[in-house]
Amino acid sequence: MSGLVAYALRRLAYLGLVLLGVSLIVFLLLRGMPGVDPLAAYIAPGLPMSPEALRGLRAELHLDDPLPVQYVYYVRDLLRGDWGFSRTAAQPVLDALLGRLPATVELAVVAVVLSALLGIPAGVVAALRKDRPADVAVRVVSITGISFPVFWLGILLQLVFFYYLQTLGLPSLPSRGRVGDLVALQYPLGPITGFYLVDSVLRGNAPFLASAVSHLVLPALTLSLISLAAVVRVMRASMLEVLRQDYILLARSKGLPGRVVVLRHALRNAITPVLTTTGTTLGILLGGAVVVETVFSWPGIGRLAAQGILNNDSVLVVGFTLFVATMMVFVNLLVDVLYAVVDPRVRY
Amino acid sequence: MAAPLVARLYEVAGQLRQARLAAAGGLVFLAILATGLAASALIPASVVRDVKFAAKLAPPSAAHWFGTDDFGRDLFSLVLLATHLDLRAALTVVSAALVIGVGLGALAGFVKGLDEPLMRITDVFLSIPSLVLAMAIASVLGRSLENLSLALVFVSWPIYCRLMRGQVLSEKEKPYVRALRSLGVGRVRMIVRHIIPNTVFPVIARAPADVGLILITLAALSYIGFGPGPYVPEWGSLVAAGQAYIFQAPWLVLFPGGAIFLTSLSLNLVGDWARDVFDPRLRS
Repeated sequence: MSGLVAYALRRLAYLGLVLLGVSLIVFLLLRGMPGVDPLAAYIAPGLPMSPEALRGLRAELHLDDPLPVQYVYYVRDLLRGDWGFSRTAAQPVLDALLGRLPATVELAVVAVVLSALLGIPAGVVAALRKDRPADVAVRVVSITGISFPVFWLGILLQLVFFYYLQTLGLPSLPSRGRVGDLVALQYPLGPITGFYLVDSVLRGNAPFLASAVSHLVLPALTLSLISLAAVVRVMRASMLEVLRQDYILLARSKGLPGRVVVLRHALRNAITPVLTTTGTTLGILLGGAVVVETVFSWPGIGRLAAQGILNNDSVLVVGFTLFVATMMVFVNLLVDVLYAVVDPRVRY
Repeated sequence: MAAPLVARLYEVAGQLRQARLAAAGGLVFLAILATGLAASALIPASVVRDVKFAAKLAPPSAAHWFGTDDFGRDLFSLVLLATHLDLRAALTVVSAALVIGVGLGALAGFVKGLDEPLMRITDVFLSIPSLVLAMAIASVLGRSLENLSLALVFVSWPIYCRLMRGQVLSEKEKPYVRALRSLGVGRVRMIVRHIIPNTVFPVIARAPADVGLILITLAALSYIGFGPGPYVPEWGSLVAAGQAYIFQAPWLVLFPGGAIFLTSLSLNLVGDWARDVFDPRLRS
């Protein structure tokens, strides 16, 4: 295990450097772009600041110092948790993001689970039936999936499962927000973790849980489409690779039933590449969350960032980028370490 | 190095016949491209300002094939005009990223001192989801379609750089490179005339699928608020504008979204095939 710890520490040091690089890009964006006034991001359109306020802001941001010195101050502030103030959220950037993080994580996790539940079996079936109709069908669906603009899909799902079902007098799925307004009023939920599913179970609040689940269905389904094609593709390729191995031939020649060979011998070995792509997948999902949260008025960090864009609130948008990059780095670290634990062949 | 290139093209032409889906995708894409070009020549730009509130939100009809939008404008004309703009933007972004990425990647693979710094830079870029990084860049530069395209170029080159560098690293150990070097062929000439033409195909093979991806990303960013406003027709912002009327006038979302989908599907069909043909690692 000590090798593993050393490996994790080495990865952590490297990831620290990556984060420093990210902070440098972000800093240069905010302060070093030719022709962009660094103060512009702090001024609300139509609400000019007094000269004294501007002077105060310049001093606070150390704008009169050379860029390298400003960068040192910038990183120090980041590490202290001072990521600037967001006009859009009327809150410090980091507080605004952390407060809305559970909504996004809940959505992304459910989307990952959905894409695994749909994508892994589809990939396995496609590999087992290579070049036959089932495989072709899976590939066609997956190529259609990556070609779908996710915001368009979200709106179409709203149209069908909310509006058309409602028009027909059938039970329909909600299209906006995390929970019904009436439910939230009648059965208030004291927050514990901020994850509605977890909190409502912990508090035994069944109506709230039901409403939260029904609100999750459409956005999570929409978001899962983004990663579904990737999961199917990786699973199929990896399964094809494993099915060619000698131990599969051995298992078959021992007379083991096909089901056992596929599930116990092949799938177990083929699934690790799917795990390793989870980090990348999550990144893609967090990018997609900006779009999906906007479509479904989902109160997470992505929708906040989108609101920031409309307000020209670069401090917030850039803070969001840094935040997502930081999350990605830690998720990737976790995946690397998990991978080393799961697969003893990985050297560290 | 023209001979292997021509031989390659023959080989490709042969495989193209086999890949009917890819061919269909290619044809559809060319048709869309031609439509976009024709549209910008045939449809008067004044359609965009042809506001008639009396005719707003009319459903599709013989006079207005895609119906009319909330300004009473002909949606068919708007979607066609947007075709030109979206395709031009996506093609420009991918070409620029390809040129920058291939150039820097070849340098990284060939010049030892540049390899490490360039690869660490791409590490940083690739650690951030490209849509999220593009948001930050476009937000700082200010909302406009040009800045959005610039931001997308900025986030798209590193992957080509990585791929190209790997290609070059394995290529430069080949005997012909040593032979040429001993003949006194200079660095620049070696990279531009010999290494790049022999290694660039697997990198270029990504391009069709990437044009599709950039097209979707561009439309998505435009949808969430980087759009060029109501008087510049763009697919993503047309969807965003139509969303407010989705239950009254679903065609406002269906047609521009469908245009994005069809274009990106055609590109992905070509891209899937191109990857199989050119990527030696995937060849079985």
